[in-house]
Amino acid sequence: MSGVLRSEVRKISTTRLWWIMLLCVFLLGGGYALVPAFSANLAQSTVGDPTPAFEAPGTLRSIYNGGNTLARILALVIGILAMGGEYRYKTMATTYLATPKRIRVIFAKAASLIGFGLLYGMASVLAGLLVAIPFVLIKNGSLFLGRADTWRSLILGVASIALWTLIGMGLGILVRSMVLAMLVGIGFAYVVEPSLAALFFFKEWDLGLNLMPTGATNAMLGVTNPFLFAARDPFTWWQGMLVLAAWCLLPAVAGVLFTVRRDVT
Amino acid sequence: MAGSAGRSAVAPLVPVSRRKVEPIVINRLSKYFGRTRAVNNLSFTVEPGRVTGFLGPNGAGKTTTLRVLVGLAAPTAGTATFGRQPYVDLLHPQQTVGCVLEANFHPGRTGRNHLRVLAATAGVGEDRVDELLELVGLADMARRPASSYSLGMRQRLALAGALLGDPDYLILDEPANALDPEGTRWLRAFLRNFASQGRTVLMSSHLLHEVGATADDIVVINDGRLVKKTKMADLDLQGTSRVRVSNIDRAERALAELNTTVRRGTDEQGPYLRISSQDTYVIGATLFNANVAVFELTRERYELEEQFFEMLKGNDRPGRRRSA
Repeated sequence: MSGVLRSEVRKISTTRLWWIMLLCVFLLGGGYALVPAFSANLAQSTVGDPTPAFEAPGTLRSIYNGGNTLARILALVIGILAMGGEYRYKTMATTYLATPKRIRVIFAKAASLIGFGLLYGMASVLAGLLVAIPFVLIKNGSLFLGRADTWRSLILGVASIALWTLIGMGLGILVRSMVLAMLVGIGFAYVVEPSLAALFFFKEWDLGLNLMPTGATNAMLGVTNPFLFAARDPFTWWQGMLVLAAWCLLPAVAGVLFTVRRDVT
Repeated sequence: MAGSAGRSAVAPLVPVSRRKVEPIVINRLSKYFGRTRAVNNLSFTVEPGRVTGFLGPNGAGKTTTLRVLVGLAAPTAGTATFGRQPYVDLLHPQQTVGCVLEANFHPGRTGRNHLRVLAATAGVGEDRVDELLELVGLADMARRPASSYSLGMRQRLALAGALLGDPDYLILDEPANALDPEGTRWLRAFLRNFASQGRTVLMSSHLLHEVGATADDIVVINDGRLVKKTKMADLDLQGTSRVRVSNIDRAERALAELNTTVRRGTDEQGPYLRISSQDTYVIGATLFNANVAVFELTRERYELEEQFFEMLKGNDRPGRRRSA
């Protein structure tokens, strides 16, 4: 591990935030996973579906990634803080003095965030798995861990969280005020995007949905729940991943071009 | 830090005698912020093996010059280099240059962890971190968050961070601002020792007396331009004398005959004359011959600040000092 990467990993690991976030992702993510689990349970008890919910692989996938909607927001926050914290606490100068080739700092931050993002992703998926187990046992269903598409959904669920940390980092680079970056990031995730998604959903404009970060994440995970405004004709998982990667790169590249080169005040 | 470590310096990782430390070269450097010319065609060199005081009133462009030198700000024109290398091109920046600019830390990170973050890029281990915490007297506070540190402690932590890589150059921006008198004395001794190993110290200050006791050379700038670069030893630091007399006009005329400069001043005890000579015999005799009664005749230590402002204002009267 290069010095600058080790330095960036230490920056995250030496503050409390990272494990508080990890705990949040695990506990709250587990809570979020209860929603699809209970709704499937309810559907199975009342409707009397011919194929019981816990015997459908899609149901299990949506429980495993039930925490994703929350975990991705926390991942976004971690990403914003990794860069925004340096501006906020005026430690950017010290960072650039140690690594004057600034682009190396950006790459090292991205790499360390991918690492922590994967960790959060695993915590989220693990929480979903733990939530699913009692339901499956009670309802005599299956965890479908023998199926390739289950594993793909688990792995992509983990990967999507890592990508969301990078969206946050890009935003943190571009917007040099941490507070503003947080407002923009969370505002976009909780207000702008759901509004647009609802609009696109009712206009049946699938391309719009697929090109949004949430839609792209849904496509990656194979989520088809209409309550999440999932596109009727979603992108394939790799198309979704590419769209999400573009959402990471867009603010990061703009930030590197316009703000990283500027004088450190 | 003075108590625990005294004057002992951390042993250099590489014997300094084997290194070749090049001068810092500021060459026709300009930096504009919009229409403000913070640094204006500034040129000077900073020699190795010496402590150089970088002086000027607040707003003179010292900090801007230092920030351009270490790559935090881009110059509008000109260069600022270590030997021939700009900071950005240094292969091992932390092993070459140590900087104490502002003492800013993540409030939740402990002092020791702050140094561990820097140790990763400096390529040094945890033992070096502990060694430096000991040196600057922060060993007891090492595992407390930086938010609990006093201003002086933050300054010392910043110094420890700058020294992690055992650099050849040490750049300090107004180091005395946050240090207590004891810390300042310790720092002086440390910097003298550092420079005596053939390394380079460049420290800025807006007060001459802060660097007067430490510096070998001084570079004075004002309004972004070079005012003077001189060896401390070449500064005309002759002492002055002060007299209070019965007739200040007559005394001034009489003393003007001597080969000295005479200035009027007033303090809480009333008006006085300051003469740029400590020959009280001649001064006393001259005033006697001029029929002036002498109430007080005192030798004064040289007035460093006054010399400084003379450099800035070109022998202006000290009463018209530019406010900092």
